[in-house]
Amino acid sequence: MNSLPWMVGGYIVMLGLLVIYIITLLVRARRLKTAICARKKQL
Amino acid sequence: MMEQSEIHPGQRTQRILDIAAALAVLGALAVVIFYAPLEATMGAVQKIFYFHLSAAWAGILSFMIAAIAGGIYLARRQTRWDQLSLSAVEVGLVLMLMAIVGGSIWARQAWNTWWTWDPRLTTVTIMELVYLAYFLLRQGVDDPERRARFGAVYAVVGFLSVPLMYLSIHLYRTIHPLLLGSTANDGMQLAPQMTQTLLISLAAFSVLLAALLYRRVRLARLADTLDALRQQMD
Repeated sequence: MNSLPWMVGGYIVMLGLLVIYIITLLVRARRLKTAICARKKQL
Repeated sequence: MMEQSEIHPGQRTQRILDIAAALAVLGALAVVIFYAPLEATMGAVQKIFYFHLSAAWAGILSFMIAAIAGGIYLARRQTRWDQLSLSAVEVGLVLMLMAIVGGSIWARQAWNTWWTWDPRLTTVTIMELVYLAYFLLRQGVDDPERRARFGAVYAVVGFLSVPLMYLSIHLYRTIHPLLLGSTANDGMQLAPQMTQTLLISLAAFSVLLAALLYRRVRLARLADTLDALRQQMD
């Protein structure tokens, strides 16, 4: 049985998880920076 | 107004680490696809092994860093060690999840099942749940100093689940392949090209771990800065 599609699928899922995590890190950092700037302005 | 360097500290280092990690992981992927030989029995799906093991390696390293940073926090009570410990737990969880998911897809072809309660798979699930509970513990404590202290103790104690997971395949009967400490009869024997590919993948994931940890620590610093500002306003 050809297992190439399983290998490709495995790598897509593993690297996909990694990309999703990196995106969440970027989004969280942007939100925090915006919140910090807003608080600084209020002070 | 905030200084740019105050809100974006370490951006240059982060960029260098990001580029290095991207190049390392893509390079390792190219080596896996084009250089690593096909395994005789399993065929192409066996190539999942390289990133599966490397992600697990980086995850374990991350949990080790979390435990060490937790220990140092308990000794010195400096916030940066708590930030590192927290970051390492989160990054370790993601990397171990990558290893578990990749392993599950490999298992579907090799064992004809997505999952089985084998000692290795059971102990890795326990380990993942132990570290997930770390975040529940932190969320349950309001005082930052107590939260950091409890988190540090938990990171140190929780690390006990790592050797349990590692040793499970040596202590119990298992269908999970042995790599380290295996003999010609009971373990995976790798061809030289496979060993080289594995070492390249392990190195690539070590660089990736450094980049992810650095980014996550910067995020933890931003969160602490925001907490301090909130307290100032209250």
